[in-house]
Amino acid sequence: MSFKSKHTFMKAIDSLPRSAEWSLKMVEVEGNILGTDGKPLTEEVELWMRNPLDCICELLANPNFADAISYEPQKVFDDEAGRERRFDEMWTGDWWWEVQVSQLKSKGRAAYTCESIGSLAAWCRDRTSHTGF
Amino acid sequence: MTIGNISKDVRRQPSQHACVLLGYLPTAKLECFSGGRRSVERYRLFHYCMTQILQLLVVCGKEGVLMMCPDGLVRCVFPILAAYVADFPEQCLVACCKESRCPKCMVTRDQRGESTRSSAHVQRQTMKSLKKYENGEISKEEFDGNLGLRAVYKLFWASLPHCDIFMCITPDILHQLHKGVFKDHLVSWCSQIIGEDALDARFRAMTSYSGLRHFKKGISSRKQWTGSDHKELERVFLGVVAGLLDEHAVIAVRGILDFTYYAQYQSHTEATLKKMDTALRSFHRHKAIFVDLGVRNDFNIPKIHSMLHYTASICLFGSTDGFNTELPERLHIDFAKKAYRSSNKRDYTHQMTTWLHQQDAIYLKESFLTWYRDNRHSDDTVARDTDHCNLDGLSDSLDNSDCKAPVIVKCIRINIPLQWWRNPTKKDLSRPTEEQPNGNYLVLLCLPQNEDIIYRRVVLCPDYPSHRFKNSTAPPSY
Repeated sequence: MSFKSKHTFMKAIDSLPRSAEWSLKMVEVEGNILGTDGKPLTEEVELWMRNPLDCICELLANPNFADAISYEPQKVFDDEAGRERRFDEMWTGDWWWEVQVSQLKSKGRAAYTCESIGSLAAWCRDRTSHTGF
Repeated sequence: MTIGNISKDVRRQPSQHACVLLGYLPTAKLECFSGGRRSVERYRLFHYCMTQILQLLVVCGKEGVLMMCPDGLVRCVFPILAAYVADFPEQCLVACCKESRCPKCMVTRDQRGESTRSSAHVQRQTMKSLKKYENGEISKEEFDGNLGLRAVYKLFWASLPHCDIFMCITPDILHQLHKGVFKDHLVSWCSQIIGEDALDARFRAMTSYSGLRHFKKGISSRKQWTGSDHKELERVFLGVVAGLLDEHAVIAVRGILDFTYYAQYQSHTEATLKKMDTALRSFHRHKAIFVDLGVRNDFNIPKIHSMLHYTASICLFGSTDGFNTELPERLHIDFAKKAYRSSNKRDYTHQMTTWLHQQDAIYLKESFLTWYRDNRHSDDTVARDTDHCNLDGLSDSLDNSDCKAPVIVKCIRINIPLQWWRNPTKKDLSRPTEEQPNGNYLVLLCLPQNEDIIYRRVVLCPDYPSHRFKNSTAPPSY
């Protein structure tokens, strides 16, 4: 595949299916210091964000993860008698069991709708500075 | 952001793209506030921004939303915030507490070095206290001194369903154990007792052995320490200090090292968790020696306190390698540094998002092509699937699309990556009206590339929680 210019190459990339869209929200912060005109000073900051549902959807639909995904909590035991619990993956922990089995079921929802939870496990957020890299 | 449904082994590989960047939070100087107000306003701004980003999860966590899963089924998904991976200042920011307090429990300032457990923060109680302070029912001394909270009244986690933010805060091995307790505290205490030169001489005197790092210049002159440096140091440290330190101090050092190693286990049983607690107790029993030798006055250090919460966290969310901060630190390079460098450094956030989009697009295309190459021989399964579908229009639309976009028709049986997919809405589910008695639904798929519409039968399938036993093939029914 060859492209005549950078522009056509970029256009080809931009025509590919896109991941979750970004949106920009301006947040106005009103301070407590008065300006020269007697009104409080304000500052505008930019908040760039994506729709978290689109992001979850993107992660959940990715066929690369088909073999590595679990939809229900498990209690894993090391022995046949079920005395020695094992904890490794997130779905083997108590939290997931507690939420999916106890809380959602007890509310008496229709059986098929409440069986799967996509749980957000980790949030990584933009850090302003970090040493070490 | 990532989802806990994906196995932690996959999640932690940056090349797998299992973590998605959710947003760029503003870093404002907030010069419109007077100096004393600035830090609390920064807290408020953070919580406001997080509320904006997460507001959709409030409804969806209660009602559920239909999503396509990689096995080709549509499930009703309840997105719930389960864990918040952050370093200590950020944990305090999220939990809205003073940095001299614990973001997880009610421990007082001067009790943080003890091994006694305090009662956990309760979300409802904390919100009540904040409300009272806002209305002026609690004095400032009580609020600052006893409760140790920050005056933030609109909290992003307040309305999230099934979420207890204090529980969500997870152990952070990199900053708390390797860098914090071990390097910043324990190693510096020991080198104060032994003396830097004597300690360096011991490191130099060690024979080299394959697989072990030889610190040939000692450790005192080294300025930059990475995560792997800490781990290498941990491997030899006990051998280095043995004999130079008091017997009790060696046992305390061993307690910390044992705890660090147990904490890194990728799979825990109840027995290993007990051993972890024993190691921690042995440190607390022998730590007084550091006060006697005059290198410490107290142990009121948040990182030492945080070790108390490790075992409970593992029982709740699985082993700690699923919540390692090393991954977000690594992704910071991709998402922030590389993206920034590719911009012209002016109004850069917009350029960074465009750059990320382009990177994502290439990754998606690439993974689609790989996936297609691996799956194209499964034509027979396509045929079988279309046989099942009894909708009249289906064969026509399949024929039509076959000439235009054969790729997509072939992949319809197995999975379609999200981008070839419009997520089904409730309306879509009701439209084909042919609800099967056994709970099957027909879902409308829309392929944006050629706008062909393809019907496909999907099963809304229930997943049952299960007990799994080692060595037994069939899990007992739940």
